[in-house]
Amino acid sequence: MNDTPADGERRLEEPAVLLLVEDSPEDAEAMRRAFARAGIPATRIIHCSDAQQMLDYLERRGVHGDREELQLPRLMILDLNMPGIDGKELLRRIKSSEQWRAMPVVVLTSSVREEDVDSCYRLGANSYLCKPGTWEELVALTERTKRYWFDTVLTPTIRR
Amino acid sequence: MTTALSGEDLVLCHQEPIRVPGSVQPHGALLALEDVDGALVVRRASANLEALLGVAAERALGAPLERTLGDAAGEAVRAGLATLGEEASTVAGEPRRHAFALELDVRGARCRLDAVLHGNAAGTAVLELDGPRAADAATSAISVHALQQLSQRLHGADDVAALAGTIVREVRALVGFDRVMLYRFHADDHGEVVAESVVDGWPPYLGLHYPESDIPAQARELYRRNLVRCIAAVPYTPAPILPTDAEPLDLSFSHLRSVSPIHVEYLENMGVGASMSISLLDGERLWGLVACHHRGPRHVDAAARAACELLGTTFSLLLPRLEAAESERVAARLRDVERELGRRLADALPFVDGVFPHLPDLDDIVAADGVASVSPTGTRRTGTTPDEAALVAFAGWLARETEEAVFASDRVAERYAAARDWPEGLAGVLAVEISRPRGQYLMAFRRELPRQVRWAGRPDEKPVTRGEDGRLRLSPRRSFAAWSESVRGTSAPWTDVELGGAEALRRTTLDLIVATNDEVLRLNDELERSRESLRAFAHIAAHDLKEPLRGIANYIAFLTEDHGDALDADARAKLATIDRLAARGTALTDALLQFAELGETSGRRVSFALDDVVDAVLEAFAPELERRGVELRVVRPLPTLVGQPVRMEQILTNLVGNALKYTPRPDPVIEIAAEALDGRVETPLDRDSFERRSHVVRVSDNGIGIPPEQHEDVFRLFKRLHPPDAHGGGNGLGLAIVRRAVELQGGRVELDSAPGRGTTVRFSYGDRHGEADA
Repeated sequence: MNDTPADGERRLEEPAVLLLVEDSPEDAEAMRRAFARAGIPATRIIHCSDAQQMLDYLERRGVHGDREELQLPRLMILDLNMPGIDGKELLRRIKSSEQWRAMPVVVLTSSVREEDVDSCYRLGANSYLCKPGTWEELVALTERTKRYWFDTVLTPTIRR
Repeated sequence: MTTALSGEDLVLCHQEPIRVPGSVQPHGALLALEDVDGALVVRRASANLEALLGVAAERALGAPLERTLGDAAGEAVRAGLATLGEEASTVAGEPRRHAFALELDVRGARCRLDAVLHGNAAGTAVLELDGPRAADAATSAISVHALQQLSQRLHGADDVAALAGTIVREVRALVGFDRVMLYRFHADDHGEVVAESVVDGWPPYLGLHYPESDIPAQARELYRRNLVRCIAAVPYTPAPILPTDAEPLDLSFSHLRSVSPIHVEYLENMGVGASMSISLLDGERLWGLVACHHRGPRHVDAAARAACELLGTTFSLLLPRLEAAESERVAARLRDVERELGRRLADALPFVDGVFPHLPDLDDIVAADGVASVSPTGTRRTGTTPDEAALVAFAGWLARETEEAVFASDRVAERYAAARDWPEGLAGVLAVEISRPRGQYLMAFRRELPRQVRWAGRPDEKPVTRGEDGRLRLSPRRSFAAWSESVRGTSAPWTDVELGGAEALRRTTLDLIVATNDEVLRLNDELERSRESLRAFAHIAAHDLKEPLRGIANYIAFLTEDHGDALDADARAKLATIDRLAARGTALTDALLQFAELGETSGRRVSFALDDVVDAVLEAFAPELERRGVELRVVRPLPTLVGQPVRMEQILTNLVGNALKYTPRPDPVIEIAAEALDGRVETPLDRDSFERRSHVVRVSDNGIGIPPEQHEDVFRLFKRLHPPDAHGGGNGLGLAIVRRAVELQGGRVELDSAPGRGTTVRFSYGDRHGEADA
């Protein structure tokens, strides 16, 4: 299964609305399917399989560097436990950057450690979610997330 | 046992005028002299002066000494007085004495007399004259060579017993008495004959004990100061010292001093006609007497008395060295014991479980009928000992009522009455304190010994009688036939070596505890590191296990979505099973992670409303509660507690989850309540924690219950009482998490449950005196 949707499937009038940072291909696939059910098709999701890729995307470099969006997607879903630069470090860099800090970041991880929860919020995470163990729960969680961040609240516009 | 002196006895002894009897024994004469302008004037004279020297006492009194003794003897006494000023006293601090010989005419015949001069407190000199030498008198002066041999024999003794044997043999050879004994004073001042040389045909007194009152304190004091004492013939008529109306003369140091009538009666009862005693001192203390008895009269002349005194002082000089050598032998044995103990204990290092379980039994050190090691966590017993409950009770008494680190008694019931109920007549105990606060003792027990004490006569025979005038009088015991007393409730005594060995064991143990402490610190470090690794492992396990489990669950869903049409019913059922297994794996790793994280953060304590936490928990369970038709009984309002609400939520979630899981009936009831402890003590739970915890929270159900024998098991990690699939598949962690969460907050959990009666879990929670963290 491909990490990213083929470029050909993406249309200009349908810009990406979700940034997904997830190193596990299976989890990424599950997220794509769940968000598709919630009404955000895979074509509108930019998936980075590690933090470096995400930084490259933001800085218009590397794998996702050639993407055309001038405006950032509305929400970032961020895994914590990743090889290389981990989720917290990425979170710290984003939230300490004048340019990116306004972007809502939802941490989605398997860790329920208080320590992780506390430190993520301190670093500026906008919410902290735990990866559910079952498919049904993941679908339910994804639907709630979509309803909140896309249908309920307003999000800032951030230029790339 | 000795017959202790009663207060009345003591009064009588003090009343007995043994130092100032006002008379002398009739075999010698006594004169008291005063220097008046260079003339020696006789101020006192014994009434037997005429009988012995042919000069009436009345004539001698008030006249110069020369009128009584003649000019030559008078001159000799003057010379003697001059020498007296240069003599050293035999007993430090006591008056000086000078012995010499006098020659004078008695009724026209030339005689030799032994004379002794000594000063007295009144500033007068006392002159004692033995009667003119008789043909049957004991040996007179012995040669220097013979004295040297005597001294050498005493010096040759290797120990106190040999020294005692030697002195009784040598004294008997020297003075020819029928019986010579060494009478040793015990610590309680009762006496025992420890060596004896006796003529054939007389019953041996060796091993006999004499009550303390036989030689009362006042008499012992005289023996201590006056090293040789003779009674030449009993019974006798005392010779009064004239004038009788004068202040009585202190005769403490007079060898002619008339003996107490009680003592005379005592000697007569024993069939003794003459006696002599030689005092043996250990430093200042009267250690014993060489007591000599003769069946008829026997006079010991001045030279023999002097030799005896020399033997006695030699004995006293040798005694400390021999006693020290004996102590040294004991100490050497103790050092061996200590070394051996240290080596054996060191071999057993390190003691992960503490030193106590590794200690040797006391019977390695002492002879005992039974030994025990007593600790609240367990008691080890060998041989005859009290039962476990009695041992623990005794250890408690030791900790409370005794000061000694090594407690020893050969009749413990006298101090600890409960010991009377100990089995098989156990009477002696030696207890070594290892840890008083922990109630850890090593103990050795001895049965009572029906010990035979052979008394010289019945010790309980009344020493006091009422005289014809109605006044109380001392009277010595009439019967001196050996009288055995069986002593009950007393074991063989604990010897110095045994007591020292016990002390050595204790000391070695304390050293080891100190040494082990380092080891414990090292192990603690190691433990901390492995706890750290365990937490890290739990995290990694939880994350890394959960990911594939989640993947399995998701891909089953995708497979069903994408290819559902191609799957038959059997394939779908098998996929459902895989799904369920994956879900259980996920739940298990979640719980494991939760448990591992419990001890990790201390967390902030805040004041929170238990109502809110209960609401949140019930909200999470709402769908299931509704579906199952659970009747909820929450006793509102619930209190406000100080603690960590997250932990409380964790505890209640697990308890409510369990209640739901294990109440598979159509009418489930779950009850949640809390009550303030207010320092009340009603259950073990309250007792353990009421001081610190403010409330007890209770979650009850009417479910299947837990058999009592499994009440402890259910709190163990991964201890599941049911098959994995029964009751919705418990993970075996719920109550372990509850207990850990409660205990981390300083509380306790207890279970009230039985099959068919439902389950109530109570736990104490909330800081009683605590304030919420700022």
